[in-house]
Amino acid sequence: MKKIITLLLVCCMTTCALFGCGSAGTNEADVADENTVETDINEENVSENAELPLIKVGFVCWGYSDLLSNQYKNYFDYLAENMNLEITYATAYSSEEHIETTENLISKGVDVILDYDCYDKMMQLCEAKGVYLAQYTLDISSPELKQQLETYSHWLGYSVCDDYETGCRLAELMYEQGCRNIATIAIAPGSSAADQRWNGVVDTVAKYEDMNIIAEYRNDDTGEFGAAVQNMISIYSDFDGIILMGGSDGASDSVLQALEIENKIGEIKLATVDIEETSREDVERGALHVIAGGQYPDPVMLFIPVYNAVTGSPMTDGPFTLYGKNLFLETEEDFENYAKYIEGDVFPYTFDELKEYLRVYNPDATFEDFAEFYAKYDIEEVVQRHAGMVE
Amino acid sequence: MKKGQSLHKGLPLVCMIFLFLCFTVITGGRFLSGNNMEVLLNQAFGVLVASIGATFVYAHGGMDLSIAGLSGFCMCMIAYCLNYVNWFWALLAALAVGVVSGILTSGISIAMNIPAFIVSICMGNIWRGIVLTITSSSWMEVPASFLKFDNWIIKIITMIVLIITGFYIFDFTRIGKDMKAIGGSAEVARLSGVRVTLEMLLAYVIMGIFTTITAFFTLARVGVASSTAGSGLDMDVLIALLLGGLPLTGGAGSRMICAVVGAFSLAILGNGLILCGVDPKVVDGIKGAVLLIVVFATMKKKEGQIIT
Amino acid sequence: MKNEILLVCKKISKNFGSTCALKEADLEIPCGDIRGLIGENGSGKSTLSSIISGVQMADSGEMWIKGEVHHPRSMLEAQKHKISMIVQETGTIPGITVAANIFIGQEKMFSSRGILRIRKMMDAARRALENIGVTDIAPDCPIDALNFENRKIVEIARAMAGDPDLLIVDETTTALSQRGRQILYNIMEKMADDGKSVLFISHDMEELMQVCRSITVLRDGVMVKNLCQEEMEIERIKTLMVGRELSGNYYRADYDSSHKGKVVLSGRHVTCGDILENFDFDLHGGEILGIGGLTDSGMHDVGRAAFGASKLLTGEIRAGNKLIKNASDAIAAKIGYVPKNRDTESVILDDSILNNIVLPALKILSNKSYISPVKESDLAKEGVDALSIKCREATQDVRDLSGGNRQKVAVAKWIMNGTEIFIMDCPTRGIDISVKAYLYQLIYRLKTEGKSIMMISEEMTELIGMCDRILIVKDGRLSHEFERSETLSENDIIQYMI
Repeated sequence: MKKIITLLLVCCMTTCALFGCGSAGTNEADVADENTVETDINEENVSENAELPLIKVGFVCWGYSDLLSNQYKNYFDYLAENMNLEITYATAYSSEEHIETTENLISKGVDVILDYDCYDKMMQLCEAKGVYLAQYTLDISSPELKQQLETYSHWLGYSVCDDYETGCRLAELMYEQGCRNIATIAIAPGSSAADQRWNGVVDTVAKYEDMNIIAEYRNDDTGEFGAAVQNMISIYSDFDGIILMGGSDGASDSVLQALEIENKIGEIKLATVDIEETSREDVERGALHVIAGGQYPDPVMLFIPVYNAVTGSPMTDGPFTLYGKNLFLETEEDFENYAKYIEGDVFPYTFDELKEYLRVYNPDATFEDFAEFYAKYDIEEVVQRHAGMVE
Repeated sequence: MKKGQSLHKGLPLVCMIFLFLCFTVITGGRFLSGNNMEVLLNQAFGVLVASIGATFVYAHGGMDLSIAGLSGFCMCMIAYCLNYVNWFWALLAALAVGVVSGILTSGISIAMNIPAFIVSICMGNIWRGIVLTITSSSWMEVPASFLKFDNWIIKIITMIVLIITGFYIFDFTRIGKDMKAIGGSAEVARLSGVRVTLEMLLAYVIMGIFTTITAFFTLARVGVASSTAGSGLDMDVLIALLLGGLPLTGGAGSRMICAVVGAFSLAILGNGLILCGVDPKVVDGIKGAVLLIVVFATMKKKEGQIIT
Repeated sequence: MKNEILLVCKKISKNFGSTCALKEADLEIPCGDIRGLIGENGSGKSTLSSIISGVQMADSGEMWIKGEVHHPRSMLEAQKHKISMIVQETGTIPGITVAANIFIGQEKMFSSRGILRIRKMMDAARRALENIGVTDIAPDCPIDALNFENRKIVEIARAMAGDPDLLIVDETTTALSQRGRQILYNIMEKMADDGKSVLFISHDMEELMQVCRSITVLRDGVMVKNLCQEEMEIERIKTLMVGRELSGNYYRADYDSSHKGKVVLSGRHVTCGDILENFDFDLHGGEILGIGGLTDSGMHDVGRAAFGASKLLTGEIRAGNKLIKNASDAIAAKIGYVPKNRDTESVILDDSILNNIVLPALKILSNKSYISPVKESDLAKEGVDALSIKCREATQDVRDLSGGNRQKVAVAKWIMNGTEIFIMDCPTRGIDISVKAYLYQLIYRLKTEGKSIMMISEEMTELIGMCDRILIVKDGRLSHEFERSETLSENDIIQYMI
């Protein structure tokens, strides 16, 4: 008896769960089967711009439980509303998973896939089925792969944050804040983001005669950063700034803790990357002085030239690279603005602003214009652009 | 009683068929397309092969969480060897690694009297660390000639051979029966003449061998050995076996069919949910729910019976 | 008070699926009575006691306690009517202290404003233990630190803490040593003297005779007869239980303790486990050698050592010329071992009868690694038939069998493996009488076939009845050796045991 009930439960639960899911729009492109299943029709999907063709997008992220991936999703949903997109969100982490997810998305019938870690095999699968592929937010893992990908007709390109630029900017801002003897800390060499930032910092510091890097520390175990900082404090008396190439994963926590213990909060300024929940507080109490981040529009911005290519009017003659910028927050006011203008109800780039670069609306839009527009991404820029739109 | 037993045994299979039908209907037939079937086969293959080996470990009440890292390392190993020798010797070298890994996991557990699954977690970390170090500068690529192994005919043949082998050893030889006996009660098995420590070691060695085979084909599919190679395999195998109806503590209820049904169920779930366009947060919830239901329904009521 | 009826059960029926466990059974227990309840496995005695104590509900029938209707839906409800029960298996809850166990479900007694007053509970626990005559168990001791016997004692304290009017003891004494039993007997006597009652369930007829003031016999779910003190007599009880005259002798008829003369298994200077030290023994072909003593005397370690199941600190075990160091050696030398703890060492409960019987024989059954399911099935069927195991089919789980049949499976697996030397530890513990009789006959038959048996047992009557020679172990050493004789009595043996 128990077993029969359980079996029925399995059927009911699975059926209900599958039927009751959001985000699946109506499949107009599917065979009109009488057996149509009632997937939840997103009211948002009944879009205002019904004249735009339905484009099916596959978006692959490492998971959807952290802040960044949720920001990606929200922003993309906004685009989907306005552009008649059907987006399938998928998860992948290991190399096999990326390939499996690609297969599944292709099987689903998407027109284009955005992934953060592309492999040659994925490209082969996409090319074979006429599906476009683009990579967001991270550089291609190796130059050989980059070359390899460019040989495919369905490879669109990638977007990456200009980490070198970020490193330069960090060093500049620290200089402006008065730091002259800084330490540079990062994870072990091998991650292109951290390495690029590092190079940016080193080169910028070299430009200033009165600024020096007095200590360096690299370790994959971010928990060790604190101990290293304490050592530096005891060795160098004129130590006045730390640039930490990546603050997430406990790195900034570790460093801040060490500064607390040594009572150097405020005395030794800290600059790092990746905005966290505690960042605002830390800036307010004077523990953190420059924080870079806010890069979540990246995949959406990538999608603009991607969309143009997919709808038949590519902006470039071949694969493109789109460089994004980080925002730099230094003061409480910056954070206010960040909360209102970047993370608020109005997205950093509204659909109306992006429309300018969609060839379906503006056939003369060029990639260079777009890249230039995007290169201006900065807190003040957004505030100016959206002044009056936000309360 | 008999009716209940066969229902319990049949439930995972019924579940799998049900999901299959569900997805077919919801996606309006797209799920059934030839292309998608090939996708399913490719996706189920890796987990299936590893699960066949894992059945021996789980049947005796153990657990092997080192296979993710081990698989990654084998992939690196094969990729490296392919620069110097042909695929056959590369595979052999990797198989040796798999065997050694099994001996180490089990041997350390026996020598230091720590449960083997804890040792396997440590081994897994060690292998992963090695993989990260090797791939930190660059991923290991394989020569294009190796990619020919990513071929569905070869996979189907390999799959059938391995399933038959697995069935044979598990159901018709001492090895399988001893595993189930140890899972039922290690002490009774010992007092009935089963060489418990030897058999447990053998199980981990078998696991290592099958993991290597999985790594071989995964490498052929992906084309490179990256730093995340093999990641997640240990959990996928565990969930596949549970979905297939394998009792978590092993013992008499363990059957080789669990590996087959489970691996396919897992692939069907993963593939089907994307095809239905399900919100990714809900995906985890559904996978969890299905797993819970299958485990609950196939769980045998053990203690708690005062009156016989 | 003495002549009042405490408990009345009328026409209690209970079915489990198609099996009828109780068929309109009646029971009446007056105040001040120690009522024994006996019956074979399947007679319904456990079912009846579980219904009275609230573990299960009857399908039909009525019960009254002191004139009030008694219809408990749970053990806690039964406790409200002042009925407590102690069971055979583990009845304590692991992971918490002794005191917490004693007052489980009644923590409200010690809470004020939602906070549990631990000290109050500890004191109450100490009093509860003293009440049953126990002063050496600390109330704050974690229950897991105690051995089985002491845990049982805690369970007894729990049952008595509520000052019950009716105490049900369900086959508890089998696993207790003399000390534990004495505590229980004292409690029972005291309760009866105070005008309360005890329902005592056991297979041990001598114990029932000794302890109870009246006996109810159940057979096939029906109450067969109530025997008052004068009518209580072992043979009569046996007949009533089985429904027929037990033919022949219970143990052995002969007094011929001859054997083949050759030593098939020997131990020299064996030191093993916590107590056994420098023990020697010889088992001859065709002999039944008994090992007796108190539970903690080290007697059980003799069996484990002889089978190679425990590591020897000194000494050696030899079968013929072969040194026995582990279970595999023993099995290769055709030794079989039926351990004392049936459910945890002898059979795999959640596996089929077939798999259990076939397990030691797997090596022999393998034909170049292939084991034919047909051969397995045949072997198992042979085993089932040879021992008359009561089951529907060999693919049933052993868990579904009664204790007696489980023991038959345990023995069958060795017989089917061609065993020549049997080491049996408490072979008839917790088994009902007809299976017991069957096993005794089987053991004797094995002897006549030339097999050798080492019988380790705490039941003196069994040793006296069955063995050719008896070695008494005391404090880890050989205390005395007895030869089979008509005049041998328990008193003779006891003085060498304690």
